Amino acid sequence: MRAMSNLKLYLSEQYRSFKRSRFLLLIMVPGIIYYVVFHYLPMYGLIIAFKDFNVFDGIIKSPWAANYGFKHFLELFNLPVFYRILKNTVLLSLNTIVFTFPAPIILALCLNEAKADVWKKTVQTVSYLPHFISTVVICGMVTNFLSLSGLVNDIISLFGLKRIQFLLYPQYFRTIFVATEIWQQTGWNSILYMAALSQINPELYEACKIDGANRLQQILYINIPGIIPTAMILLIFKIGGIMNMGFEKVLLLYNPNIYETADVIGTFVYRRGIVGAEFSFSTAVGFFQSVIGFVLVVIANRIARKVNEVSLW
Amino acid sequence: MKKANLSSVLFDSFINLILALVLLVTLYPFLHVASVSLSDPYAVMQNRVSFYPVGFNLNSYKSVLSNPYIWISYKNTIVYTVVGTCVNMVMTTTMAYSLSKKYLFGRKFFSVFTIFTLFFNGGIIPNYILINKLGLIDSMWALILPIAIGTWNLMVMRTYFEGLPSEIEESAAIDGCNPLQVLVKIVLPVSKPILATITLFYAVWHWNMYFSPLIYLNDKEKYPIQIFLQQILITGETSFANTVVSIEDTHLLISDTVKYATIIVAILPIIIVYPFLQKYFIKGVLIGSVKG
Repeated sequence: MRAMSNLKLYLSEQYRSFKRSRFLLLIMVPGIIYYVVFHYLPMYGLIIAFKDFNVFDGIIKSPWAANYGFKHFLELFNLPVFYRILKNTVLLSLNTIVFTFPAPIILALCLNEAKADVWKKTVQTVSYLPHFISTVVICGMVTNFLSLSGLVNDIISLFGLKRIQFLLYPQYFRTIFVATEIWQQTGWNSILYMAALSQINPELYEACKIDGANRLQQILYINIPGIIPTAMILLIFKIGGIMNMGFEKVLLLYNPNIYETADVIGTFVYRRGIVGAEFSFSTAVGFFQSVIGFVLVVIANRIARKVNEVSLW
Repeated sequence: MKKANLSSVLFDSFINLILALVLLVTLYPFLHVASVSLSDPYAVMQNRVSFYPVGFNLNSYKSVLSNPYIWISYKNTIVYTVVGTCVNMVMTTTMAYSLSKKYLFGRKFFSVFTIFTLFFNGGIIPNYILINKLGLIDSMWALILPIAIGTWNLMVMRTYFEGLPSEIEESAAIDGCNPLQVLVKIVLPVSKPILATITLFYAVWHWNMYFSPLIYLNDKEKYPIQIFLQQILITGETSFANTVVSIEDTHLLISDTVKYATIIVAILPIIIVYPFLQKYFIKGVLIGSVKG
């Protein structure tokens, strides 16, 4: 009896909440349809990784793949190239994280010390600019600067060194990739650190001055500890996103000569799936990447919540 | 005291030196590109161009602008950006407004429903098959509908709406405004800063889009500027650069200055409007980080 009346109460509450938010629900309809069609349907489409998909039969009617549906995954794991693209994906991400991580912190610390406001604003404005330049233009500049007659080779030849076609040798690719990333994102990534620095209690500086600390010591003992929480969180999320790095830049910069270091999972999926139309196999490859990526992001989120009580959820 | 001053001056000089280096390293590539684009091709070939144009001329710009495809692709990009951003704003604002209300029916469910897509997605191939099934190949909607809502932007906007005082909306409702009027007449006007920020984020997203048009568009007449740029700058596709090839013997020389002129033509709008708009971008990053 009690349970019944509780249920009744609950239902009537829900009904009232529903009635009250009728308008909100109505204007959400396009958004909900969008998420279902363009996010959840593709997730459903992942089942073709376990099938032998062909366009005529469609997703439902295509036959299941051999080996209990895991044929394409087994094929992938038996492919020597798989270990190369996996290694390249992880290494390229890791290199990017490790080497791009300190740059915005250093920039923010320096900007924070700049005295003239106009000067500070100018450097900030200019340093954010590359963030808005498209990947295609960045890669176009990189390709042309690194060509035999390009800017970089001009500078190298000033020192009497031989001109090199950098983009044709695998050993240079990661450096090129990371360097452009630093050039493009350092300014933009410094914004959050600037915000963290502006949150530091001014009394700390006063206390520090009374204790006779110089400005370098202020940076070491106040500013750097002040931004460590922000830095930690950003680092955790970056490491969590290691598998989800965009591959557009790789696609624009690489060529078969440097697949050895440049070919990543994303570009491999593009070549086999879109160009080669091996839908089921390439979906399996992408699925593998998504699952690993998902697990890492969830773990990162857990850790971040523990570290700082800040979380995406 | 004197010693402290000296070390402070040294410290300041060191800081300013680093900042000056940042400024130089950021700007120099642009400066070089601009200089080459305005120079005599022979001077470029002899590597005499570094900080300023040598043998100033506008020939490369003439040949870039006389290529019909740059106009077509520019126009396409503007259309995609304007239509796409409008779709984005309507969809994102309505969804974010609803999600920001504590009393929304099924709020928890809808939050997880949207945020989950940040963590997991179907990937390239299932999306490609979907677009194919929907018959959107070679249509501009293939570039617009799949990104009608950017989940991160949605969260930023929701956070902003949550921060608005509920009293103004309640008093408007008491005054007899219906929910739609409250949203359009009360909430949106006080949210102009965030609307501007998100509009800009979306516009840049559409303007710079490369991968979707690469896989969804086959018709050259529909290519956006980024595809055109990729063909000129990276692939060196000559079917696009018809004006370049016609001058046979100086082809190679001209193409270098022409490439750089193409870069300038492509990024000039962004460089011109960017300084006026940058404060809005920064606002978006900071609001986003409060929640993230």
